[in-house]
Amino acid sequence: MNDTSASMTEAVAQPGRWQDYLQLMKPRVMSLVVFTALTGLACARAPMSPWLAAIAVLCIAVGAGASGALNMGFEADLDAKMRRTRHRPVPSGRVQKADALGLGVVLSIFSVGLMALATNVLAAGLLAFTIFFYAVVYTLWLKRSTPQNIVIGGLAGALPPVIGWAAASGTAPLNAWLLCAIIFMWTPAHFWSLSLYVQDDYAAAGVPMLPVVAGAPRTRRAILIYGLIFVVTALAPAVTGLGGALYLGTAAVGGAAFVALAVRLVLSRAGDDRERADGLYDVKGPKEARDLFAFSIAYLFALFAALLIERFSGLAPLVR
Amino acid sequence: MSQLVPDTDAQAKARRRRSIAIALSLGAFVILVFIVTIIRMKGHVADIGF
Repeated sequence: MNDTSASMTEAVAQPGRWQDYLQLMKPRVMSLVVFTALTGLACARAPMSPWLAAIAVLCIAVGAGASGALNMGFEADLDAKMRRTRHRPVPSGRVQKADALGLGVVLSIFSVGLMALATNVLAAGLLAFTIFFYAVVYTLWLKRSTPQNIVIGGLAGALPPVIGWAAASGTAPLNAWLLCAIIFMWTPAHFWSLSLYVQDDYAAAGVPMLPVVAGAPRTRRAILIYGLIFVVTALAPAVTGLGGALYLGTAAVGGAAFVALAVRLVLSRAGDDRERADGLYDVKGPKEARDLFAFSIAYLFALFAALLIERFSGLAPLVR
Repeated sequence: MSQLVPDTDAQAKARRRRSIAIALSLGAFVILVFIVTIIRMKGHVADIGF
């Protein structure tokens, strides 16, 4: 019996709790999705009932949860082989794979249906596409087949602001897609930083992440290249009439710090020595990669927070 | 033919909690659909001319 089936068999006796089902929905990912979707919804500057706005954001959150449950159902075999994920509800046996997939399907139907009823077909369609793209295109196909998995798959995580914008206005203009582009270009540098110090996990599971397939030096260079494109993209809202002075300042200062951390990572040997890479939160992991990973979250949050603050404080965009 | 194995106390308790969570979720969904319907209907009623 291999490790996977052993761990599953041992844990079968443990009863699944409602908290396990909540964990299937990846609450931390949901919180970022809610924040970016709310920003898209607010930036649309369209008149909307606050009740419907709240329900639209709830639908996006539940849709993200559905994607998470489908992902954990489909990926249980991989999760069981990775230290970072083997304690998740399905590989540990607390929740059956079929139950996780069932939860994902039901939540998908509820969230898309309610979104269509509460807002419009465009927002509901985008939400349905996002769930499908993450659960099927990314999880079942890209993740297992190409080192560009998180580059292309990042689209699923990048769409929530467009869904929010569409929910409020019924349209998806250039500025909505610019918010999508910011998250899309943020994703590679963010996840490749993480993969530099959990590459043993990915290698054990047979996931072709870039450091596993191409090595750490090439991954560090790719992080810098994608990071530079991300920082330039993040500056764009200041010239399209979306962001104001606060946004520009945040994007510029944060962008400079992001590039500095990426350059520091390229000059380091992070990920070269697999013996030192030991888990997501282990202090022995390469500091340069962990710092960029942590800062990337803070920077993305700051960018969207600046847009929200400008929207609700009445600060004018730089370009009208 | 397979035999049914009775739940342990912990399993029965967890099953009951899951059932309550499902019932509450379904109730919340019904209430949300009701709220959305009322808000949307109000908007359309306001559109009707006299």
